[in-house]
Amino acid sequence: MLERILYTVLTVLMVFYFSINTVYLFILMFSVFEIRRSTKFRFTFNLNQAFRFRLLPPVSIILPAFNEEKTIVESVRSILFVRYPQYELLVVNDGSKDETLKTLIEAFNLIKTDYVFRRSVDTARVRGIYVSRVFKNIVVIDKENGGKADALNAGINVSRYPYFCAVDADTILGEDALAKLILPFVNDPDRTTAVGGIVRPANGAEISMGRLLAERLTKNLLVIIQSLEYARAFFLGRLGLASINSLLIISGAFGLFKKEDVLRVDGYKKKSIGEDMMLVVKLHKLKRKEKRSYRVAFVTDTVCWTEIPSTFRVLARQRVRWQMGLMESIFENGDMIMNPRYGVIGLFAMPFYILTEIVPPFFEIIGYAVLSVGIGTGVFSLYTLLRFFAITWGYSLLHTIYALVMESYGIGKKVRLFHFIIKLFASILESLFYRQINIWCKLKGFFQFFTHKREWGAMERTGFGEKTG
Amino acid sequence: MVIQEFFILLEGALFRITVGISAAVLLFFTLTLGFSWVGALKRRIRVRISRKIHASLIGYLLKETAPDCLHCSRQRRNAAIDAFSTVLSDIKGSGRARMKEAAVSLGLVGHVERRLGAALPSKRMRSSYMLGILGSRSNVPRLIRVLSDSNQKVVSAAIVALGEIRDEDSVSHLLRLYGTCSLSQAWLIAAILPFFGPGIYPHLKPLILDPAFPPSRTILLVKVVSGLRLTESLEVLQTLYKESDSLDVRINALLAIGKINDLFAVKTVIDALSDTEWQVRAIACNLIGEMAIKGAVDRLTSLLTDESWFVRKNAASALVQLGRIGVMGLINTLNGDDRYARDMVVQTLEEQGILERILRHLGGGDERRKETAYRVVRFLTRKGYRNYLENYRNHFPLIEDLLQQVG
Repeated sequence: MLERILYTVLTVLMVFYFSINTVYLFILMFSVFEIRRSTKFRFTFNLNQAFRFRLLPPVSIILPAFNEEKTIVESVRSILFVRYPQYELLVVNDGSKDETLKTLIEAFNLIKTDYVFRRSVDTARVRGIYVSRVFKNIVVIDKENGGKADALNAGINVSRYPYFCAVDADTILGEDALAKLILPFVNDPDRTTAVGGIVRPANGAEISMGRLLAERLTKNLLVIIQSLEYARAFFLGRLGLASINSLLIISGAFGLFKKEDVLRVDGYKKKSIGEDMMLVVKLHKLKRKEKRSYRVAFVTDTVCWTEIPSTFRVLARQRVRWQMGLMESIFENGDMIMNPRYGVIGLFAMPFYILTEIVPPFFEIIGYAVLSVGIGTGVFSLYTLLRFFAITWGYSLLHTIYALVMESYGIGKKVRLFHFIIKLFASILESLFYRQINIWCKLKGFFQFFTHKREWGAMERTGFGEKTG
Repeated sequence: MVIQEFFILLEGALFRITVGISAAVLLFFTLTLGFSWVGALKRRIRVRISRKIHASLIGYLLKETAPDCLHCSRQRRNAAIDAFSTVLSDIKGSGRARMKEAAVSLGLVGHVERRLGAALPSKRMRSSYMLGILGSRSNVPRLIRVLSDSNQKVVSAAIVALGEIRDEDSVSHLLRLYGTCSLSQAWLIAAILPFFGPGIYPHLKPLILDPAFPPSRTILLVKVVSGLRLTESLEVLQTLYKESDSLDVRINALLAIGKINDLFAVKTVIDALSDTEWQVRAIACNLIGEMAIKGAVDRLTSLLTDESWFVRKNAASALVQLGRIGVMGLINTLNGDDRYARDMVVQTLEEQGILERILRHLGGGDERRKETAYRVVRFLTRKGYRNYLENYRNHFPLIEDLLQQVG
């Protein structure tokens, strides 16, 4: 009897993982084709021509900051280095308890001004607006604490331009990142509603005066493994999903949106913990309801860097929050799931996220239990175990390796072979301890979501240029 | 027992499929990796060759090397084309013309030209792009034909290429396309048209007043005309400003009028200060500052009491732009009764650093300026802006005494 149950469960698990990994395989192929397509069709004009002919529309960059005194000046500086013809930078101080505002006032010679703006989206009270005497395109909005979504909404209210780019306070933008990110809007202004870009870990990199001088591989194994995760998420998941217009997440660290569309969905959801995903899902919902042709695009050759957790404690907090954010977006838009009215989003993208992000932790726990009992009672032979791990871990390991190859060679970026090999080894280690930590965080996030303890965990900033790894 | 056998069978089948797929993925992976590495190697070789050619091109450009040395690159056309496009993107003037001649003499243009008829859209697109960079005037008719290509990205590349070449023959074709193309292509056409020079205005004139165009396209054309800054376009722009139903079109027409900056344009802009729409009044204030119409100080000063914050703000900024006479207008408003106007003046004086400059005269030798500075301090203290002055205490100790004197 026990033998039958164990085999049944094991087979169900194998079928599940096999199906999930095969879907990933298809997404991977979409990614490959998307990269090839974008490489082939990149020659409408070069950036020099874009600047000369003034092809790039003005953009408002919104940078929400909460207790970011250590990194805020570097972040603002990094944005000032961005090569873009016309932009304004709106730094939103979301009721920081530290010296964020004072640091900004001193660094950029700010003065308080009586700035008038339309309150298109409801936000917490704005205490004051500061403009810089030195940099005419810097505006600082000081407001009462209301969360990241609320801060972004305040930025949207004050912004003047038709597109806005949301960046995190710990984000460092590449020089041409914004100019490349806007291209889908230039090429297809009617349909494009949002664009995401690639985010890489800044930990270990050489950073000076807000500019990333050289990417270096950190010695922190946790960061290396997370960098693999980022590669997988961006080069496999998001790129492939974007090619079939099913992208549900545009990273809060670097995303560009059409303001008009965002205002129509009332901006970011207040008190939301997964505000970035929630916004994209709402945009999909709006466009699908209106039955209008639209596109949520993803650009591969634009890069920004962000500080990622270097300790288990901060990592756990971040992952719990991500899981809760994901569940919030899916549960609050539950009517879209398997609803033909929402096309590929309802029939594929949302079920895909449920099956790959919410369900697997439970299956994984069951798997460990079944394997323990099976090995303990001698039901499973070594051959059975090998087959099980080949289908589950082995298959997914292939995807990781492939994502790594795409990150390293697919977009023509120079990569040191040594770094590539280190990451290959790390991808094997990932299954041995990191995967289990992730499962624990996802489960915690799952239960915490239902117990309504929804809050943002604090990300402890170490400051750019300091040793993080 | 049967169920268990079924599961074992299923498990075995799954494993075999997984192994099969994994093998396929591995093969795919190995092949892609192989292709990527070969591609990277090719790129490296090409970059190395390009660098050599690049160096010889720079030498040729600086007239250090004879043009003959370029003929060594004939066999390596793709690398040569890359090098030419890089150099051509970065230079202008006579050097650019010489480089273009060299590209033609090497037969590179002919090579790119042949690819314009390739079956793959990506090749047609790259060829259009390259012909634009190489500035091949002889290929304009071919590029004009590409404007009716079935692939929209190829069409966009051809538009930009024609913009690079700037041959007047292509203007009528581009404007014909303007009426029917997508918004992004209309945007591209509008972006390149000003580079053709004032000669295109007769082509644009009938289109600007065409009621068949939606406002978004009319605005793009108005921006083109604005870039040309032609006095002869004033009449059309004034008609558009006065008669258009769209506020955006009116605002853009006014901006274009402001750029012309002649006597009639000045009159239109000053009249716009009393427009019923606040957006128009606000833009007119900005224009007066930019056009430096010093005679409009009184009108701007009266707009400091406008009902719209934006108009007040722009009027104050414009007064600062007008220089001393404008700043004096602002200072006199400090003694007025309108609190909103006073707030705006104080804010602008502080924001633009004028207050700091005025206060610096407190300890100076120029009596007239000193008197102005005293007057400002008096006004600010009496009208309830003492806190602004207190911010400057550390830099200007004299303020302390003054504040005590005024009470």
